[in-house]
Amino acid sequence: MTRRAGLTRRQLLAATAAAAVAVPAGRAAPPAPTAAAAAPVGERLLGRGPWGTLRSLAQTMLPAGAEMPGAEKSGVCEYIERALEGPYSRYLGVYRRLLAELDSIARAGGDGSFDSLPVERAREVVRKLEASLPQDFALLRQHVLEGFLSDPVHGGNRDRLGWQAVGLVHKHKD
Amino acid sequence: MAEATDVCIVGSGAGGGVLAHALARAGIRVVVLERGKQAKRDETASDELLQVVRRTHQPPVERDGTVVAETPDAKAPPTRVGQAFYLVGGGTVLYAAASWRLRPDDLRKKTRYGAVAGADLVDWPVTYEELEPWYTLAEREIGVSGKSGADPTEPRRSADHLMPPLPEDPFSARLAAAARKLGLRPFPIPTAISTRNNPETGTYECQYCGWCSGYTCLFYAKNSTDITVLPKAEKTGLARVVTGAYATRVELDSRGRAAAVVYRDAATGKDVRQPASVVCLAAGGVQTPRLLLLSKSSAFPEGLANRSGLVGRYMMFHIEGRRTAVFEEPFAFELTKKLGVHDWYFPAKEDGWINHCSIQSGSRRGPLTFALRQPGWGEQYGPALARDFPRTQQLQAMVEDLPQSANRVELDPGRLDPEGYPLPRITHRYHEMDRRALEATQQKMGRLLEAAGGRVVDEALAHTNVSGAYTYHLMGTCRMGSDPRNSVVDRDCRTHDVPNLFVVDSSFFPTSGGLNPTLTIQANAYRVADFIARHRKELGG
Repeated sequence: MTRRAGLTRRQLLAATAAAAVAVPAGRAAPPAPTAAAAAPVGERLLGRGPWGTLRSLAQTMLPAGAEMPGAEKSGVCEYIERALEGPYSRYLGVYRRLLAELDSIARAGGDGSFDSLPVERAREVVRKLEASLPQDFALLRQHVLEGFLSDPVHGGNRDRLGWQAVGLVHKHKD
Repeated sequence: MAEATDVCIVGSGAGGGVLAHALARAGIRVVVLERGKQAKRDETASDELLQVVRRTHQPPVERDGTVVAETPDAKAPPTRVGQAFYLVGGGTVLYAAASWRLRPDDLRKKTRYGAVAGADLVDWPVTYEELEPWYTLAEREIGVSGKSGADPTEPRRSADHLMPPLPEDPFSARLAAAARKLGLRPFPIPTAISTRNNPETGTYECQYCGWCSGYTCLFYAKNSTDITVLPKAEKTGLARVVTGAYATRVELDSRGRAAAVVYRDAATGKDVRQPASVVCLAAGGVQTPRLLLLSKSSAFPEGLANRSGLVGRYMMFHIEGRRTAVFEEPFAFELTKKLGVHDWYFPAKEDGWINHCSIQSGSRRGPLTFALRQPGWGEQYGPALARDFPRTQQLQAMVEDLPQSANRVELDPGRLDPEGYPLPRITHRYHEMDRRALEATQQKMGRLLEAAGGRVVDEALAHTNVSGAYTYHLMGTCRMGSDPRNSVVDRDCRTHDVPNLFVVDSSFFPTSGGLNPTLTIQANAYRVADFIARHRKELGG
């Protein structure tokens, strides 16, 4: 699971998204997207391309591993989109700036968009992003961790995967 | 204008809640003005995001933040220091519930240590023996669990704790064994957490979920004033709690007596005048002096009850020393104060400092707060978090903050809240002894953690500014004393300048001791209620 430097971000996301649907036993699979279905909140707020880039970025920051569910599987971006629609709506500008900067750093490297980068190269680009916009990046890091470890009622920490990963037995919620 | 009452209390926390109960029980009509709302404990219990990260129980820093700096003219971004929790029950809804009696020598600082350069040491005008019956009453009425006699520094008590202490968890058992090996006498911390169902206090046995410090208790086991004394006060039919009531001014009558409290009603946005025969301030160590300073008049151009010029001075926090260690095996999650070590509570002669210092377990962080403090991201980040979070334990020190007149709360002329009132500004710098005591206590905590098998992962630092403060303990800003020239309130917590105006939160503390202040605030509130009840005729003017 940990060696996958050859995969692109998009392939990885597709794989983990499929796993996320397949793994939780006893839960109904989400309805298949149809043409009539509304676009995800994140797409509506940030645009389709940037929203996809954000998902890749979150997964680079909190990747899946042997006993780590990773950002995608644990619903980090579902948390973020809900927060951006509500209490964090004031941070939309920060997200737009971060994603534009990320895209520009990726393209300056000549490798095309961030989503298409191999894992190692994506990490380098994110390190450059952190150096370029340290405050914005710190805020994003906070939100990624909130999506991973806060109460599932806020939209993230899907199936309490974040809590399970850090060994928290939550007596109220379990 | 609201209907007149006998006593108007500003604030419903440790001091105000108890006072309301004791007065109503004595047949006195009470109106409690609470700026916040009733806590929605079922919706937010153990929700780390809401309670500790977003802090929905405190107003936003941008709205109500306090500037804290070491010098009066230094610039600093506003912080949450001094923003009391705006809730019915105040800080008692969220506190860790440690319920200590101060030690006799906490109240005799000047007598025990003499003069200290740069610190304004005084004795309290009341002794421990005078407070003792009120501590006993508070322990019964609030519901305190503990093991009487186990703390080697515990003063004489006329009755045992109401309930047995919280049970040891695996970490405190480990720590206690290590401490005993070092020749120390660890003991269970007394807490206002119920270890059995209590029909008399109206609370229930703890479910040992671990979400105590910083959280509303889902199980009605933490004996906050909103579920213990306030419901009893209201049940008398004589006490009423008004929520969303932001007190902005205490008004005087033509004889110089407090006549009413004016508050901004959050529901209507309008000012309401609450007439009362007696006014008691219990809004906390920052908001109480602020309200006095806001209540300027021709009789009191420097602020109400401030002829001494001392309202707001002697601001004390406790200094929170933490020490962190990583252990080989994981421990179940708990944010509960369990084990205390007081063998070093009083300094040795050769120490070169005179601060009293308590060492306490139970100050771990929740998973999210822990993660936010671990720097980095990427492949290594998650696995390191999963490894370290359940294995990391902290000890916490409560170090006494010596009183200094330059440490003070003032009105910040440059910063108004949305209602148009100046926000507080705090100038605070630690005494050299505070820093030395903190550093030495952190070293002792490190030794304890190592003796228990932990690997200490942080430094023993002498904090140089208020960032190291335990900023929920706000004390000293309306100092109690017998001389009107060097104190704000007298031994009955009545202001020297206004005969029917009282201060019943931790603002009255002349010195801070090295222990969490809540039980002392509560015991003192019972004492002050008794004074008001006995003198109600003359106070009624």
